[in-house]
Parts: sequence; C-alpha cells; structure tokens
Amino acid sequence: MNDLEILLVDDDEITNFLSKQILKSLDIENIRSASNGQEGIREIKERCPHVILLDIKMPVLDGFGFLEEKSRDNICPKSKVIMLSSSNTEEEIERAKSFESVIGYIEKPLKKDVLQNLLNTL
Amino acid sequence: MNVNHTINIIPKYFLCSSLNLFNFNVAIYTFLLTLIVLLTIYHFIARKKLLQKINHSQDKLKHFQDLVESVNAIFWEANPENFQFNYISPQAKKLFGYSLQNWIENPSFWENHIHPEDRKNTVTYCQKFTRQKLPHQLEYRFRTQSGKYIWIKDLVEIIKQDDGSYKLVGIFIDISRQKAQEQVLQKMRTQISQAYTIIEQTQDPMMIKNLEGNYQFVNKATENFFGLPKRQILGKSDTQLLGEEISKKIRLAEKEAIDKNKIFTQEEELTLNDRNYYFETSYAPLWEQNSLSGIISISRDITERKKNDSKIRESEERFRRYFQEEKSVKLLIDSESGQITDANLSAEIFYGYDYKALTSLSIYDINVLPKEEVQKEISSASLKNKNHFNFKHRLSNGLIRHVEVYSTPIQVNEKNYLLSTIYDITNRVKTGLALRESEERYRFLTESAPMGIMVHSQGKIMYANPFALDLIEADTLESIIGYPIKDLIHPDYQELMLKRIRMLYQSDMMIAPALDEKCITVKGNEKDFLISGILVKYEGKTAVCNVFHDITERKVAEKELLQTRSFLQEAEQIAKIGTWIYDLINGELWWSEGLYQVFGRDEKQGIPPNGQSHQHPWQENIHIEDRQKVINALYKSLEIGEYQCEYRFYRYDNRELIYVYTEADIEFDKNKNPIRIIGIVQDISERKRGELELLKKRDQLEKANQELEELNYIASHDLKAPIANMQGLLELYNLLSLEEKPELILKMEKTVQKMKATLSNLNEVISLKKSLAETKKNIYFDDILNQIIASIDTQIKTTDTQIVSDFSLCSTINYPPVQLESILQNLLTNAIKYRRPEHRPEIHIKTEKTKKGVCLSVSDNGLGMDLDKMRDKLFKIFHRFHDHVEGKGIGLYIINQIVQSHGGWVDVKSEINKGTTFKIILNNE
Repeated sequence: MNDLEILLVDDDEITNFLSKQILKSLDIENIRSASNGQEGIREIKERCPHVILLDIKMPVLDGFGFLEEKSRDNICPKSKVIMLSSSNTEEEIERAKSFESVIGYIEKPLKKDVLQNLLNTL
Repeated sequence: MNVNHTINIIPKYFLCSSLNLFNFNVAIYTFLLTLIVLLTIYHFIARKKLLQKINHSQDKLKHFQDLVESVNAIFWEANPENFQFNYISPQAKKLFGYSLQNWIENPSFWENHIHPEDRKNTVTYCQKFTRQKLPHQLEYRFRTQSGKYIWIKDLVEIIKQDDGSYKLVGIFIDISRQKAQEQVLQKMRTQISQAYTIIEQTQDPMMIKNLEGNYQFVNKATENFFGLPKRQILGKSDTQLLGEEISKKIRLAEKEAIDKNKIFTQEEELTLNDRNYYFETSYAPLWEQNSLSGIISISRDITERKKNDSKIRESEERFRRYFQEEKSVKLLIDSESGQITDANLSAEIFYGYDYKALTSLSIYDINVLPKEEVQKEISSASLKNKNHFNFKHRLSNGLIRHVEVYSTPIQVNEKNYLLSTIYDITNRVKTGLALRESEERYRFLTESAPMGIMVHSQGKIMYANPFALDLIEADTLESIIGYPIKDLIHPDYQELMLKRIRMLYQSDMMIAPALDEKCITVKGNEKDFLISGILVKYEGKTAVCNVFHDITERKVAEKELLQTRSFLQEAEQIAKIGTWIYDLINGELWWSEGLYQVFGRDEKQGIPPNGQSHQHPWQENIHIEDRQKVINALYKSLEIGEYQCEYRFYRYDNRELIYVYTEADIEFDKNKNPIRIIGIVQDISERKRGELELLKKRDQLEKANQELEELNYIASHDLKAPIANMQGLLELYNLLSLEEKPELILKMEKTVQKMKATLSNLNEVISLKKSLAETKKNIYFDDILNQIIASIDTQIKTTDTQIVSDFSLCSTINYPPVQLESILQNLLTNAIKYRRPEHRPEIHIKTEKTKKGVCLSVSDNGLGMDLDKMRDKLFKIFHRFHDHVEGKGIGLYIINQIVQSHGGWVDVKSEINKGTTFKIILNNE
C-alpha cells in the first residue's frame, strides 16, 4: 500500500467519488475530502496531506482563494497541489502555476496514467 | 490791502482744485497706510499674545483697539478662500446698518450686497489679487440696510499666518462724500477748463494786474501781442512793457474803474515794435473775498477799424476832389421818393444815361436790391447812422457793377436830400480784394482751410476756396463762379439737397448738420462728400456756406469692410463658428453675427449689446459643471497667451444645450500686459454627440463582450464538468464488478440531472435578456410584494419568516412588472435561504425617493457574507457563496442585469452572522 496521503477539494461529489476510485486503483487509501476551499483549509490545518487535488470553481471559497490563504498563512508549505478543473483557460492555468506548491494542472475527467505520472515526480 | 494775495484768478482756481484733490489723496493714503500699519501691529500683537508677557502692552493694545474701533473706518478679516468674514469692527453696524452677525454667519453676505453693476468686477478683481497674494484696493457701491448704496473704498491686505495659511484683512472706508465732492469738482473743473479755453483762445488780450500794477496773469493773445512768452511778461509793469506815456493813461483808467467800482472803457493808442496799435480796453476791479486784489482788463484791437475810419476820411477827401474835378460819380437823391434829382457828368458816363434820362430815374431803378431794402438804407443814411454802403448798381446796358457808396444827408429848401458819391469797386470785389480787412482775414482763413468751403446763393456758386476747387476738380475760382450748385450734386441726392437748403432758410437753426452726399465734380467724376451747411450773409445776400470733406475713400473702405464682414459671416455660418473680441482695457465686448448664430440671440434682453461693457450674463448660460473650468482657462490664458476650452452652453433663444469649442489669442502691449482677447467659438454639438454615442456604443459592446466571456466560461465549466464526470463514470463502469454497477448508474443519473439544471438556468438567463425589453408600467410595491408572498407562502410558513414592509415614502414606481417581481423575489428567497440556523428570519423592505431615483432596500438578519472576499464575484453568474443549501448562482446576476439595464445599481452591506442589506437604486427616470 502507498503511504501517500491525499486531500480532495471539490464541491462535486461525483468528481470526488471518481478521484477516490482512481487513487484506490493506485493503491492509495489515505484519502480525505472537502466540499469547498474553506473546508479544505480547515482540513489541512488539522494535518498536512502530501498531495491536494484542487478544483477551482467552488462556493464559499474557490480554488484560488484556497491557494492564496494557504500561501499567505503558510499552511502546509510542503503539501503539493494538483489542480483538477473542468475548465482549462490559459488565464487559469497561468494563475495556478504562479503558486509554488502547484505541481500540475489536470483537466477533468481525471485519468489514472496522468495522475500516476504526476505523483511519480514527487 | 492784501497785496500778497493777488494771484491770477484763473490759474489759481486750477491750482486750488488740483492741489486740494492732490492733498486730499495724499491725506487719505497717509491715513490708510497708518491704519494698515496699526492694523498689522494690532494683528501681530494679538496673535503673539504678547499682552500676557508684557504688562504695559495691554494698555497699548487697548489703545490700538480703541483706535481701530473709533476711527471712521471699518476693519475686517476674512477667509481668502471664500471671502467669509470672521471679524468686522463694530462701526460696520453704524455705517451699513446690518448686525455684525450677518457678516460673519452668511458666507456670501459681502458679495451679495455689492451693487449689481460693480459686483462681478469687484469680486473677480479681488479673487485675482487674492490668488496672487497681492494687496489691493477697490472702490464700489455697497447696499446698506436701508437700501441705499454708499461708495466705499476697500483696502485689502493678505497676511501670512504662523501656520502658513493666509488671511485677508482689510478696511472699508465710506467715500460717499469724497465721491460726491469728486463729481462736483469734476463738473467745476470742466466748467473752468471751458472758461480757460475761451480765455486762451480769444483774440483779445486779457490780463490781470495786482494793485502795484504788475502783471499776474496774461492769456495767449497777450503773449502774441507782446511777442513774448508769459514768463517774460508776468511780474512786469506797463511802464516796463509799454513805456511811461501810455502807462499814465492806463493808470488813470484803472483808478477810475476802482473808484467807481465799475467797468471803465477807453481807447488807447500805443506803439510797439514800430507798429501803431489802437486798443479799446475795458478795466474792471478784481475782488477777492471782499477785498480788492487787482485789476482785470480786456483789450480789443481796433487798429483795423481805426484804419478803416481814416480810409473813409481819405475817401471823403478823394470824393471832394472828384467832386471838384467833376470826375467822381455824384448823385443827389430825394430822401423821401428816392428820385434822382441831380447828377454830374461822371455819373452820366458811368451809368450810360444822359442827364435827362438819369434824373428821370429813381435810385430804386439803379440799385438791384428790393425797394424796401433800399428805403431802409436811405433812412439810415439820412439819420446819419451809416454813411458807407456796398451796393450793386445796374447800368443802362444792363451790366451790374459793385459800387461803394458814401452818402451824406443835406437840406435844400427844407427838403431832405442825400448826396451820394459812387465808386466802382467791381474789380476789387472780383479779385477778392475786399475793402474791409476783417473780411480779408476771414478770407485768408477760408482760403487756407484744409476743407472745402463754398458759398452759393439762388442756386449759383458765389465763392469756393482752393481746397473746394480741388475737391470739385475746378481749375480756377472764376471758372465756377455762377456755376449751378445743382450740377455738382448727384441726381439721386438733388432732392435731399433742395430739402436741406429749404430747411436752412426756414428754420431758426441756420445750420444743416453734416450728411453724406454723392456729388459730381466739374469733370464729371462721382465723389462722396460729407457736407454741412450754414446760413451766411455774403455780399449783402443771404447765402448758404457749405463746408465739406471728401469721404470717397472712407466710403470705399466702409464698403470693403462690409464685404469683409459678409465674407466673415458666410465663413462663420458654414463652419458654425462665431468670433468675439474682448477689449480688456475698456471692457467692451464685440460678437460677430456668427456668434449670435452659435449662442442664439436673446431678443428680449438683446444679449449681449455689442460694444458695451461685459455685464451680460454670458457665464450664466454655461453649464454649471463647466463654468469653473472656463473661468480657470480664461485666467490661465492671461498668463500663457492662449485660451482653449470646451464647454456646454445653453443657447439664449431656446435653452438648447450645445457643446462648443473656443479658442482665443491674447494680445499684449509693450509691457506684456494683456489688452485684448480675440477668439472663436465653434458649435461642436454634432461631433460631441457622435462621440458620446460612440462611447456609449463602446461601453455596450464591452459589456456584451464581457457577458459573452462569462457565458463562454459557463459553457467551458458548468457544462463541461458533468460531461467530464460522465466520461469518468463510463470508464469506471467497465472496470467495476456487477454488484457495484447499480450505484454507478445512480451517480450517472445525478450527473445528467445536474447538466439539465445548468442548461435550464442558462435558459433562464437568456430569457431574462429578452425580458429586459419589457415595457414599464406604474405599479404598487404593495401589489408586487403580496403576489410574491403568495407564491412562496410555504417557504415563509415553514421557516416562520417575518416580513415587514414600509412603502409610505414611495408607494409606486414606473417599472416593468415582471422585472420588479424578479428582483424582489430573488432578494426574498435569498434572505430566507441564507438565514441563520436557530434564528427567526426577519426581512425589512422599504422604499424611498432619492435624488438618483427610487431606492428599494431589503435587509435580513441572516448569515451575511464576507464582502471583502466576495464583492467582485457577487454579481457574477453561477457564483455561489454558501453550499449548505441548493442555489443556482444566478439570482444576484439577474437582479444586477435588470437594474443596470435601467441605469440603476445595487449597493450591498453585509456582516457575517448579522445580516445583509441590499439597497437597490431602481432609477425610474
């Protein structure tokens, strides 16, 4: 079993379900999930995951709000972030890359091999 | 006798008036300067609070204060920004009547009480100098409480205070009396100057001597007579200037005048520079303040008259000689019947009749004058009133001769006769050698005058001076004597001329004022003359004397000017341009016709009356928001030399708002002072409206673009997300075991439903866009609210929501009903949806009228939002702020879209866990 700890942050429960299925197929069982950015912050304040799969468009606090708060308050600076969004505008990709912790940008749906490649870089 | 006091009366008067004024001004300035110094010291002392440190300075200050408050001037202090007074000395109450509070409390009190005619200039002037931090002084009229205006002088100083700010201090001085005196003085000065002009210009020497006989004042004629400048005459005596002999006679005359205290006149003969003069001099005592101070005398040069008298005596001798020699023409005339009773041989030869024929005629047959006039002359000769006449006598061959007649009444057998000796002077008259020297002098004047002078009588020219000959292109005087005056006048003007001549003869005025007339010269050229006429006696006849100038060139120039003006007008009209000239020296403003086209013309007020001072309310018609900009630009232009500005203006005629562009050049004099502004004004309304339309279109396009981008984002995200999920689910489907598959199907169904919801939301938004075109109706807020409450009744009841509404301040609005319903419903359902758990939801709805439009406010006591984070996303489509309840993320988007489409906007205030207030300016304009 892989000892990587993953946090899923997405308001869409189907996405979270699908992500969990793919992670499980990669032998990753240590998975938590949050339904928006604000909940995500609460989760990482509790314990730092290795990797965060982060959606952008969410109510209450969106993905960028999450990234801003995380870096501003220096929460879990070692945790890496993989963006997982259904939109892939240049603007959003550039903005995401400007955060140090972001190591990848995946367009939904999540594919097993793409995720694996990214995790391998860690 | 007060000898030292005898100063020439006229210059003394002058001296007095100007000296008094000068002294007056010096006194005022010294006084004011002292006051300013005192005021500054007072101010300084007050500020530094020296009085606390130095005991005796308190007395000093008191002294200053007393001084300030007791002098007949009013001190004030004001704010240089807005001219609001913060101090005014108590005398103001006495002078103006207003209570002191009025000055301090009312910011525009000062400005409002300046005389309307002085106000603009005064305020502008004061502002200008205040800006430049320069002391200045003004004179203007100020309204007192009783409604009367008084003249005040206002001296203003700008004082820098310790904190670096400035304040205005000044003094009002009542100068009403001074102004009144000035006016009287001015009038006196004018009168004196007129008198002085007359005295200086008269041909009669005038002089004033003191009682010692020394000249104290002489006029120009005296200087001319002595051939000496005034300074060489004044102080001298008659003995020094004229010699002992005549001086004795003068002294006797002066004594006579003084003794009898009346004017004494005598004839004096004196020799100066080898020339003999005869004077008729009048002497009068000169009194000054009830004491005799000198003698004033006026001398009339009668040398010429004396010479004439001696000439007559010579003529008489000559006549006797002729009589003796029987060579002079001699007639004996019956004084009563005018019958020629006797004649000598020379008379027979001269008149061309034999003795019998001549003695059968009466003098009336020979003299060309009407019988009545000849009778009059005979009677004055008989009474010895007159012995010398100029007549025209008709000869037997019909020729008319100019004759000089000397008549002496004689009695023969108790019958009265006139013995007349006749001299033929025709040649002398024709060559212009008139007998009388005075006439010669007039002639010299007319001959050398730089203007045309012409005399005509009975339609014929009798005389023209060389200048006139030149003007009418005649070669010699002889060639035009007898020339019909009518032929010199252009046919179009002949009637006018005749009318003017008739008027001259009939009216008492005797003068025909100058008038343009078109004339035709002897050579047939047309010319424009400015002609005036006067009735004169010429060679015994009543005649018209015309004085005229050639104004042909001026006429041509006028015509050219008119043409230039019409070119300008045309050009102006085409370009929608107006021209203006503002004379900064005399305040005159000139507007071209084109400018009236641009600004319109106020027929009632005749705005602006060209050439008058710049008092018309041009500024008042500038759009209020642009006014300061224009004034600033004008002031700046005086420094930089050019003026450019764009502003909005309400036309005078129809109050239409137009956009104008104005540009002007400033002219400066040698000292770089601005003297004139010449500018153009162009109506740029069309261009400006086009620009504004373009800007509006651009904004609309930008907005549409933005909306498109948003929709694009929705398409890429909210529609892609469920599709991506379906993809993922389908991939997983193949990998899962049979038992796990039904759960996956459920998830797929959920995904599809989400996609459907997104599509229907999009549909809603699109239909909203369509509904924005809905027409407005007058609706009651109460009706709309009741409708909504009914439709969400269940929601309200299950949540126990309390709704409080107050539409008392504004109960109706003109708005599309569906849109208003949509706004209110979204706000209400949001308030209920995002309520605080375990708090009874309360919603307050209120309307009011504001300057910007109707304001609808809806406040709740719900969850609230962190606006610092959310504000920019608040009105974006598909953005949600809470996730514990279902929301579509389009409510606020819809509200904002509707409100903005009517020019309104939404203000939000919110606090987490306290509640949210939406203030919506619906803008029903």
